[in-house]
Amino acid sequence: MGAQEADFFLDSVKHLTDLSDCQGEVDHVSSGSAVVPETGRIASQSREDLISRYQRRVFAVIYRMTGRHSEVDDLCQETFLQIFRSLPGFREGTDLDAWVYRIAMNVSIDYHRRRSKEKGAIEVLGRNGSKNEEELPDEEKHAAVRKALDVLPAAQKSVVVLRLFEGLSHEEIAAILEIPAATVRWRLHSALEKLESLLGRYLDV
Amino acid sequence: MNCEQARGLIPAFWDGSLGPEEHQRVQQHLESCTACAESRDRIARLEALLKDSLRVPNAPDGSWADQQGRILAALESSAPGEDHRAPRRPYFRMALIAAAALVAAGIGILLWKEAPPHRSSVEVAEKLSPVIPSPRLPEPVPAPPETPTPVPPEAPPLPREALPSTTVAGLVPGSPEHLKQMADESVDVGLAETATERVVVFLGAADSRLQELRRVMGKDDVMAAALAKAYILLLREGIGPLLRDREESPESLGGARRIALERARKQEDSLSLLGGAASGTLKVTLNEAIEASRELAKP
Repeated sequence: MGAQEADFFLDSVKHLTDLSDCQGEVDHVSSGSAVVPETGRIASQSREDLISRYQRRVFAVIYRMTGRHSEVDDLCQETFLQIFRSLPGFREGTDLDAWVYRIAMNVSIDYHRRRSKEKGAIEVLGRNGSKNEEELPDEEKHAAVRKALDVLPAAQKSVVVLRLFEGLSHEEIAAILEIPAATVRWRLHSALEKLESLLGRYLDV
Repeated sequence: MNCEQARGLIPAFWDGSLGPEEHQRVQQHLESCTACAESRDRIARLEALLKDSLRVPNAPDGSWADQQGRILAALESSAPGEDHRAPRRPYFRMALIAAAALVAAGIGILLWKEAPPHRSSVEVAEKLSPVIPSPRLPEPVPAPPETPTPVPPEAPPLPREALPSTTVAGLVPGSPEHLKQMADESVDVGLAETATERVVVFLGAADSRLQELRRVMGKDDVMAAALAKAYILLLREGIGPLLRDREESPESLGGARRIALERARKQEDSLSLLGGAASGTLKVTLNEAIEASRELAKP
């Protein structure tokens, strides 16, 4: 994030935290106060800007982490609610991108934990299927990939999504997940080995 | 560089995470070895397959604006400071993660021992999945009386009486008895009530993997590499997250950190000796295990 963008977001955060600070007063003081509408207007604009800035990225991360069309929207909403709720704890010098990614990842992983394992789905992989990729409709192949990804522990899946799809460096991922960069590399390589073994029949030429 | 060494480094080569010299050595090997070049191409095809299969669907016109409206409406309707998340249960959560790490270590060993590379890993995982215990939710316990940070020059001795008797002489790695032992370790982790207790169980399990590794090294290096990977998993996915858990009190974590630091240094020494006698993929994995120990031993 460039310096100009960083300033913009810090300003946004400041306005939002200002609003958060004064909301308690709004409950007790007349809403006709001249200050409140002004602060509210700025904050409202900043909220929209922040959502616009990140909603596609948040959507993509959650979609790839969960693979659930029907629930991605709810999880995106939950992510942004958590982002706005935790704004007062945001400090200057924090990487806003990393912070948003971290919250989106946590929401996805919490969802992952809540969801029961699809035992039957796993059986499809590596069995009963045609050996010839050309005979397989794309939908089946894509479903197999989805299921293989769901077999990975959430910690490995997070690294795969952030590295392959978001194109982040090991160091950036380490900052988001708050783990050493060596652990990022190890998780990524373990995940690739596992995915290769699960999806082997789709990789033969 | 031979094929075994190259294969161990191909994921890192593909990912661009090797140093320039090592990258060059792998590159040279790939130019002269079609089998290893095919391994690299498979990873490239895997990346293409993942990207093709997980494309984010195009959103219909106006849906981003609709979503923004819903988020703003939800924000307006939620009271300031209100938290709709489910109440957090750190002890339960950490216990479950920890137990899962142990079971995953067992699965890893089975995969290397029994499963051919492109086949039955899922079957093995399914076979093992029922052993993940449902740890009971312990009552919150008062913090230990010690105030451990900063780390004293000489850490107190590891409470060995608390360590489970995980290593049984003559136990064959990958055997049903060995897997039962690892399942028992996961139950011990689930029953542990404090971070320190959980770390002690993990360290005991990691010690066991090292002892088993020492026994099989030279006879079955594939199994030895699997045990080294299980060791890495226990440190990075078991102990590491426990020590970073912000919901644990600093007092509780201080004791766990001190014990982990002391033991990780000893394990690093053992691994260095083993690494000196190893070669090929096993050497690469042992170096990774040494790095995992160093990460844990950082104060």
